Amino acid sequence: MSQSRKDEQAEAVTKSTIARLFGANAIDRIDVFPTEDQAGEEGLSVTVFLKTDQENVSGARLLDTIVAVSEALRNIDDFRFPYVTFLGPGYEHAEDDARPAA
Amino acid sequence: MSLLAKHQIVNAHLLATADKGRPRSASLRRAVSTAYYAVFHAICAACADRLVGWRQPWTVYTPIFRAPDHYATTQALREPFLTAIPELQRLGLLLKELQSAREWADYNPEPRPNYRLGTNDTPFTRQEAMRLIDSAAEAISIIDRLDDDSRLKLATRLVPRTRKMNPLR
Repeated sequence: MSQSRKDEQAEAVTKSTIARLFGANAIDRIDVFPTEDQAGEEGLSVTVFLKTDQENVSGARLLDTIVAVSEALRNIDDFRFPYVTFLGPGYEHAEDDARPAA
Repeated sequence: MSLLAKHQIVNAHLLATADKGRPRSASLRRAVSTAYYAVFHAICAACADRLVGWRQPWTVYTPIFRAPDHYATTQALREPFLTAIPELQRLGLLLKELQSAREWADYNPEPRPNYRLGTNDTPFTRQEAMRLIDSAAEAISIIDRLDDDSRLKLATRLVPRTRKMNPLR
């Protein structure tokens, strides 16, 4: 199977798993893309954009999401680790670091 | 939860909530790093407590406490020998997520973990830091609930500097 096909399958499985956990109404969109960890090991970056800040995603819920997505990926023989991030519209972003002009 | 781990989690909360208005990146980074170390220290303590015992002199306790390696620990927690225990599998997943965030927090200048070049990725947020701190507390509570046998398996896998082991043994 080509890498792009494998990525497409991983994206579809990840999205359906998270939609099942949270309900489609709670989610604006989900971004899934391949990434690498600090040791150069392949992973998947999964960003869940919530529709509102009402959804309380606790640490335990984050863990449940990682467990569910990991299992769903393993079921399609994809052993990449899903790094899961939740973002809501009212989240308080850190101050930008000023970068020197190129 | 040990007092050290508990206070590290408290400190992480303080750092994540210290700034009024938009949080400083430095505060959130230190919060994430502190939360990760709370978990890693709890793992080290669980190993040393099980193999040596808290009441033993520092001269024998400390070397065992210091034995686990960060990367090797996340790798070991993915091997069947340990993932056969559901609590350790969950601990391993949390530790990997936290370790990645900590690597970013301590070493990476980009505005968030897994930053995508050429996109409009937004900076890291206070809520993400709080969630990681909460997940660190969850990881520590998993360690606290481990039974004696699970602690022994964890310790014997993380402490010895062995040649490559057969993970199926």
